[in-house]
Amino acid sequence: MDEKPSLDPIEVARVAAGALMSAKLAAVVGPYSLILLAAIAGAAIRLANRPSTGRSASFFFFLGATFASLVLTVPIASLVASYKDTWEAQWFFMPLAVALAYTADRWKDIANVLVDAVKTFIRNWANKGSKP
Amino acid sequence: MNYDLLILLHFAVNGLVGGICVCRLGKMHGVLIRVKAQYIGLLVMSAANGFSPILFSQWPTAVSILYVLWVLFILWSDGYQWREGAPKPALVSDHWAMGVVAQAWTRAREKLRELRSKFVALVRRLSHGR
Repeated sequence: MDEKPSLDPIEVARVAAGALMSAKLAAVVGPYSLILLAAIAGAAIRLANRPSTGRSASFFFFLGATFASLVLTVPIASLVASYKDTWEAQWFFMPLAVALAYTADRWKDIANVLVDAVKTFIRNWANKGSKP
Repeated sequence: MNYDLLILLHFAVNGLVGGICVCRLGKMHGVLIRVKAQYIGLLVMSAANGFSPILFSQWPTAVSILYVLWVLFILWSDGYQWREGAPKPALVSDHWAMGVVAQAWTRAREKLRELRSKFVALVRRLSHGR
């Protein structure tokens, strides 16, 4: 074998799925299998650290977090990867899936932090010349 | 052997195991981390096991289904401990070792804060002296 085998987990999953399915289908199922498992892990960690809820509430929370991260991971990963040419989207799939599912219902807090950062930046920029 | 039926049964049993894990994870607030880790790991692995024909092209065998059925039986027979939320001995506040660790952590944090304020005051004094 001349070529070095890729150790990227997404590539490995694609090869594993290729044993069963056609190459085209495996290219979709392979990455999404790992994203699904990572999303389940993140949602489970968040569920365990949340204030206690009933059965149906925890079940719906789990389903919602998993599906949201399953849907949002690939677009956000490709957005992040488009920042630099050397970055590849597939390296961001699993960490982003865990992070998104772990964030789940607290996305407003993170949005607030970002808004505050922008506010502080603008205020500092506006006050740059003046002396305190 | 009829693989379709076997896959369906495998998926159903793993789904029940994962469902029990989700129900218990919802009651995990203030519980020891290793108890949380038990159920997080079991949930992820039951999902991987249940979806394994699609995800990893690994086919279930009769013995593996029996094994997962026994895991399901263990969880079901363990249910009496989880009737009213998490079992008492698993709570962090009831565990003397965790209490000691938490106290030590709080004390260390206070000490660090004190040291930091001292350091900041020292730096201020030095910079004003110049």
